Amino acid sequence: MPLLLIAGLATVLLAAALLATRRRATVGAGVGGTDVSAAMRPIVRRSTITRFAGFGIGLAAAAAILTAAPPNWLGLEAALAAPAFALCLLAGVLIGEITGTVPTGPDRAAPIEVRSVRSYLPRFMTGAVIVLGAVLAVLLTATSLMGSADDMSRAGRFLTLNCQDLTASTGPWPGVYYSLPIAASVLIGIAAAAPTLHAVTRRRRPASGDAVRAADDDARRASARAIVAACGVLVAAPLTGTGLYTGMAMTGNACATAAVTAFGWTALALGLTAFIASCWFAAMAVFPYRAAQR
Amino acid sequence: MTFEVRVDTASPVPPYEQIRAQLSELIDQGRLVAGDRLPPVRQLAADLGLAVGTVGRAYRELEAAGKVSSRRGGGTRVTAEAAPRPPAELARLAADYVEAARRLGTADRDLIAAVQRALAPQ
Repeated sequence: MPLLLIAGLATVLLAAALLATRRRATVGAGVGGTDVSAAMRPIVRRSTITRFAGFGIGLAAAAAILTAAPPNWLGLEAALAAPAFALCLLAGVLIGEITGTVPTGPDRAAPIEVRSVRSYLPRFMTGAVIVLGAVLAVLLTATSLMGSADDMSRAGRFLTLNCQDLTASTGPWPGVYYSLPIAASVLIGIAAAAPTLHAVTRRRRPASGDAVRAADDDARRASARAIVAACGVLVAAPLTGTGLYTGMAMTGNACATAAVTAFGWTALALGLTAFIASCWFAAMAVFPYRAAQR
Repeated sequence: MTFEVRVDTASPVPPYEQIRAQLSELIDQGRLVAGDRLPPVRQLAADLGLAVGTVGRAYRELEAAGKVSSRRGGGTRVTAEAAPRPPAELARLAADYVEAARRLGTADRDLIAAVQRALAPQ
């Protein structure tokens, strides 16, 4: 039931994000004639198809993890579903960039230019991902240090606080039982994003000419935006769960001091913010052209 | 303005030599100046559908000629020593002028002064 609620809210926010990002950069429009469209069409079509395929497979993989996880995972499947989705999306973008780009024929041309990853990265979104990643790292470190074992001696599953003669435990708590797999999956995702970004810069130009180059750069920016947005989902989704469960455990603990309660409410707000960010990143990952030229 | 490198894989001239010759010409003509960065070897190789070693050999030959220098992390750049040479056509015109002026018995000092007068704003 909570999952259905989250999915419904995510759908609403996804639709809102799409409506908010109306400006669509049609590749080739306004920068050239039919030659530009002809040159760019196969690239845009291929990258769109593989991106949507990655998105679909990612959703299926996330759903499979959520439904098929054994009961002894104790909620770990919810933390790993988002990285699985993001990895599939990254794979879709990567396949779109590396397939069908080998030049054929005896006459070949290449521009003398240096294409760097930095020139295609969306600044605001990259900054947001870095900030959320840093917040996730700090929060997971803090919760790992504060966690204690549960009644089955599983390390870091509960928050145990003492006050006078009382010992109060609340959970589930994002201690090492959850934080280590989350951290590992995020690091694997980021490691997969790096070569995908390099593939975006290495893809050859479809044709020569300034108009084609401008349209091709737009397509590369869209791919880079999809990759960074996938990284955003990779980081923001676990931060949502970590923030919410940290907040619920802290505010619900009978021995919580004022500082702990305040930290708990902060974590709840952080989780909610990360949830909204997750929806925004998901929208940008699927429809990167809609956010072009921001 | 972005320049292009063209390779004809059916040509008897090896691809690395075609790349080297074109880049060398662009440097000699001053179209690529000191500090300009050449594309990374892997990028140019992917763009042209050639092996990385082929482009790498062209870059090594240019480096051996002192026209470019490669630095780890800094890419391959045109060196300051690779000063642009005047185009062949300009050199031919200059030689024709000097030859014609000397036939008239003009001293070197006077033919230089004539060029300077011609260059002076009207």
